[in-house]
Amino acid sequence: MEDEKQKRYGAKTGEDTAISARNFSVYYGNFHAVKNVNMDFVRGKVTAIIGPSGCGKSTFLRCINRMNDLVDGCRTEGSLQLDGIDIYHKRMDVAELRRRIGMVFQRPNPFPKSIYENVAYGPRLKGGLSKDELDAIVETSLKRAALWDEVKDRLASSALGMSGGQQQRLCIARALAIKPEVLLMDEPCSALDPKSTSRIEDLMGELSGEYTIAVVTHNMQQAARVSDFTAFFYEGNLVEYGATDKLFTNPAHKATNDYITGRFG
Amino acid sequence: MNNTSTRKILDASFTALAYSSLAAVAAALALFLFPIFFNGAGAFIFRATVEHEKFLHENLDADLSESEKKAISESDAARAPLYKMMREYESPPNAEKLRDRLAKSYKESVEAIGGASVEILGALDKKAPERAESIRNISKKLWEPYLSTVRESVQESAKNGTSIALSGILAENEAELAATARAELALLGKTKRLSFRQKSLVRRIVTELPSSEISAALETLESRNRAYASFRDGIAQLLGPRNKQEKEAAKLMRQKYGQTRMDTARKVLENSVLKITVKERDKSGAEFMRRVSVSEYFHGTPVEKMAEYVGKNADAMLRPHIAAYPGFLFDDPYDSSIFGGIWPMVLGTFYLTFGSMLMAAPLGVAAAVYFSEYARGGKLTHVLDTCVGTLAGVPSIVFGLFGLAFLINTVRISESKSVLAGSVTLALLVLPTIIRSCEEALKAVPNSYREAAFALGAGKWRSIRTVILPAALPSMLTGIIISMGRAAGETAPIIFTAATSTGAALAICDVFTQPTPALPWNIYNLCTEHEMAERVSHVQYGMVMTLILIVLALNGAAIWLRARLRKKMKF
Repeated sequence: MEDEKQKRYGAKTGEDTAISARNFSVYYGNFHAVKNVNMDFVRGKVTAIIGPSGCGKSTFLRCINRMNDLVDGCRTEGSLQLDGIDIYHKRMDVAELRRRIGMVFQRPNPFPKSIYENVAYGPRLKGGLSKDELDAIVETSLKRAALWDEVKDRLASSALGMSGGQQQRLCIARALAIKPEVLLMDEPCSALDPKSTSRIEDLMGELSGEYTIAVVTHNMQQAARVSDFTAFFYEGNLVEYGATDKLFTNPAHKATNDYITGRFG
Repeated sequence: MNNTSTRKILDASFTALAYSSLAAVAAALALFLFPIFFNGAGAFIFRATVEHEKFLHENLDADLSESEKKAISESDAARAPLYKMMREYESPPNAEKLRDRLAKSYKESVEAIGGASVEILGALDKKAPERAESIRNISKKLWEPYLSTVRESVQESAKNGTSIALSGILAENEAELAATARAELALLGKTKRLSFRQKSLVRRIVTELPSSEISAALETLESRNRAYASFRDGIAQLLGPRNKQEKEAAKLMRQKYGQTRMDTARKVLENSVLKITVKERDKSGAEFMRRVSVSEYFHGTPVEKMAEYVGKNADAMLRPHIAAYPGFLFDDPYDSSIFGGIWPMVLGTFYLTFGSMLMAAPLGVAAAVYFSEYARGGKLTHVLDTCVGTLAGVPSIVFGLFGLAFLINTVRISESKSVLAGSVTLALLVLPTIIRSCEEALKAVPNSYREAAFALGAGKWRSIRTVILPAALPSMLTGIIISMGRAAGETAPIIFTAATSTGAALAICDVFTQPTPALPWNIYNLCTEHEMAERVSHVQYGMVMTLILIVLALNGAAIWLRARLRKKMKF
């Protein structure tokens, strides 16, 4: 029964797959947080993951760049692949993986450094860049994150002096500076005001195509606005996954319907 | 309604309580700090005497200004009459007259003895009971003119100030007695051959009575002379040596100068010049010391006049004036800190403090990074954590003993006490505090910074070095600087490992082998073990103030640094 569900709603879109999960499970000690998920993220598209609190959507997202390695007692089963390479292979270079999969967190978390240093942090880790190359990367990244015009005159001032929305866009610029293929966004607008939120959403639209974006959100309108595909998680299960238009207008599942119409969540 | 008013009253009373306790703390602090700062400032700015300028000029190459030269010559002029009185008292001009007078009457008595040979020989032949009596009578009769002169002289000497001269003359006479007795025996031997017993009897006749009388007279004179000597020493303490010869003969620096500070000068004047210590006998004959005022003991004598003169002209002789002595911080101490400054102690404190920080800070930060970033909560971590906590509670004297027993005696880090050994000991002492404060600082760094760094592909060490340590730096520095204040003020650990009570400022190359004076230890030493603790009270307060200022400055630096770094990083 369970397997059949997964088969039915696992993405089989025929398009280019960036990340694919097969029977992927996550445990926190004895707690089964994510249960046998089968899901493909389409390259160059925005995929939204929605679901009520504690449904495992954030956990799943953080497993993609192995941020859950930092959590004691967290282990995974099944396979998770990036471009056909097993993310949880024991010889995987995690640092390299994270350079390919950027992440933006729930609350803006710029380093207590200058704006320039924040963006240059990732490229500097890799090293071997001249001052001019670094300047160019910082400028492109900030332009991509639609922040350049606001901060170009104060690159040396502290990042912590910016507004929340600016800080979050700085974090996006910081993630883009390492030229990732995938961008994971864990409720990137939950700490922001509506105006900043709409700017971030616009940004996601601009970035799609070039990056594969996975965004976890609580906000269903946001998911409907920005994403091409939407996955609905409920109690650790991937209940429904499909094109955003279809999922919001004609959900195949009652639970999905109940959730998007606000019966619970 | 009722409820609101009750709440308002409670609010007001709590506020009042808070303010009053704040005021109490401030008052207590002021009460504690005010005397220290007031007296401590007295080491730098004080009422000095001309002796202060003399000391600076002769030992620290200070130039004398015209007005200072004038003050010195004027003070010398004011002292001259006193010194003249003292000279006259010690070797009176009428001493020769007195000597002649006594010599004359001594000679008369000797001649009388020479003329009484028949009488003496007669007495020697008498039977036992009468013999003693008649011998005594002869002796009395023969010596009477001389002895009455002696008695008169002793009585007069108190008034005319010839005590010292008289005691010298009497001592000479006493020494002559033996020769006189020999001459008499020789004289008697010409007429009659004397038995051994008779010879000793003759000796008794000649010497016994005058000897005991002279001794009694001498004792009276000596006690008076001792009292004068005490007064004279007081004057020397107050004003310094009277002339060049005395100055050159003085071995200690404190004997080369009078009081340099007016406050101690007043004390010396009250306690050692105007009051003296005299030895007296009680009825049972036991000696005891008595403090007595000069004017009482020497009433009606020249010494009373001297004391009177000193009391009236102390200011003219010492020329008190306000002097600033910034060199107190940078000059070496002279003669057990009675003169000069406290530079070796200040420097020693700096060596020990920075030496210990040089070791404790990197070690403490490394341990804190381990505890906060790497340790995985295993048994080992728990044991280590407990050890650090226990170490923080070990009494500092135990650290000192450890330094001595382990570092110096076992490891032989240096031959004996050294700055190195002291620094290591202090480092161990402050290490737990540094570890704890750095650990807290690291734990206060938001986890989101770690996540962000990891998400950008940073390794553990890289993220610690580039993000976490810089973010924790302000708080870590605060903890380290406050520990530095603690290290600067610790006494017990350095007693056994690094501190000496005296010694010159240490060159930096000697810190590995040589001990050093240091403020905390020398404060204790100067207050408890100094032979003249009262005379160096300004140094004690000056050191305490300097130490408090160093610690306050370190804490101030910590606050300033934190504020500056926080502003830069906008936490």
